[in-house]
Amino acid sequence: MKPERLTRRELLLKSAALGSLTVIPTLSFDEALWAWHQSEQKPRKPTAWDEIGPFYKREAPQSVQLRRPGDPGLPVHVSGKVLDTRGNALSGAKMEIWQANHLGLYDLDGYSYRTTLVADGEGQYSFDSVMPGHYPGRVCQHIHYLVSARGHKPLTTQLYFATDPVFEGDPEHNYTRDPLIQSSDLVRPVTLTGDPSEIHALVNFEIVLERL
Amino acid sequence: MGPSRFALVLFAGFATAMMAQTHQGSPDVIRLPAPVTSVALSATSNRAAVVSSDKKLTLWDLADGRLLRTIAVATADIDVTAISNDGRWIFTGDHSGNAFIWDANTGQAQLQMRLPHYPGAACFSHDGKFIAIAPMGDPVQVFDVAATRMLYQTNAVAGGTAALAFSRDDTSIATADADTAVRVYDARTGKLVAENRDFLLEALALDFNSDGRQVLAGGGDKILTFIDAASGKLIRRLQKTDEPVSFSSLKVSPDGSLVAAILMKAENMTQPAPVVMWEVSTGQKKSQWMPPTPALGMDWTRDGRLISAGADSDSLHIWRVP
Repeated sequence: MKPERLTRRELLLKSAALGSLTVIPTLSFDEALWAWHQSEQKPRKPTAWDEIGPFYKREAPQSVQLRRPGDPGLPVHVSGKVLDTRGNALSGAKMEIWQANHLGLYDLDGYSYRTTLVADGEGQYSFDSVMPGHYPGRVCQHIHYLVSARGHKPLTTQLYFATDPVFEGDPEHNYTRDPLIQSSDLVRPVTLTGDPSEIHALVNFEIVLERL
Repeated sequence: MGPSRFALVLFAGFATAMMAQTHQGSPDVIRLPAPVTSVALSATSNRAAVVSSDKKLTLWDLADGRLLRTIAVATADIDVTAISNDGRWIFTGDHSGNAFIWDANTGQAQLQMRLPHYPGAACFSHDGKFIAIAPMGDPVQVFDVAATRMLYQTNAVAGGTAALAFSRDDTSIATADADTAVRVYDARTGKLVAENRDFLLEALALDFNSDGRQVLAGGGDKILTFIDAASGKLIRRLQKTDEPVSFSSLKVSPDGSLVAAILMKAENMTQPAPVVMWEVSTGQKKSQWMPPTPALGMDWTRDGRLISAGADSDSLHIWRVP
């Protein structure tokens, strides 16, 4: 990765945002910049595979707003980046995303809670939805992803939520309660925000693809 | 469901059989010492292979309810069980990706495999010489059973393959793939012959018609679809069903006149869903039957009767589908 020129302020902001670097007060600016680049360039573990499930539907329309006005359920905002294993943003990566509604029902006849997204120039994506319900026969709440990018292996995976009651607050140990969860890395922290009358959830889910 | 007239009870290794012909009103019941986790039927050989939660693979003669063989398996967490038409070979694949082909004659493992992921489907060729296995999310692998070696694997498809079928002459293999395509391969070489992309949702089950010229497939689209096996072109679609066809649950009758499918309740797969039969020539629905418990498998007998397996906590039920 080509080093970029950063101001002291930009460096501090990036470090704080990523949570990936603790700047020790005695560190010089150049040392901190070097350390940040090292942090950015370290190999990343590819996102764990998870099965596609039976309800993938192709040709979902592109929309960042899966939750329509008045839809019941806890609003959730999912965001993240699509990267390669060297930490480079995969701009233009295609993401097909689908989930059950808040009752755990999939829309087979239409495209509710289904979307196709394209990662932006920095590999970022986001969408607004509702917390999926528990699909009968599946243990955990989940959102399906099918991600593809030129020169990289397509990935099917699923996003899970650390707040799922199934995990009893300890997803690191209890994720195997759902036999389909292949890695605890797929269980993501959930931040609840907003005023008490309008709480919504924030979830970050980074996708790392392997090269072909 | 009325009380069963037929029971086979196991007591500490002793089996007592009281069996008769399966009939419409009530099922034949094979009582097992532990709940059923996976079933495969071969109506041609009149056998059922059953994996139960006590880590036992048992082979049953459906004609008289005899226990033919018990094989210890490492885990009851079996995702896929398959049986060859002649009942000789039984495939089991577990959730850790450990897969075996068992010889029913000896109870020994003929072939042991470590799959990259747990299997989503497996199917023996009609002559029992080959098996196609679809590890979840990975290319289909085809093995020569007697030679105990892999012949080839198909090209990778995003999401893998949900269902497999050999043509009756075993020259072709059809796959229902997660990218929603139905593909036909040369069974000897693994070369892609045809591809159909008319499904929006994944087909979950398929079979060839009797002469191998058409593939019948159904799944999330809830429409049974006829595809030309040579070109991949859509031939026709039947009327939409209420529910999708379930995983690997579609079979054409021996004479090719009927096709049967187990549907699955999309909003809750753990609930029973109908078994439906259509006339192949007209596409008209011939019958629809709701089993009392979810149908776990089905097969056609040589004389054209459809049997279906269900289970409760301690027994396997074999129904003749009306």
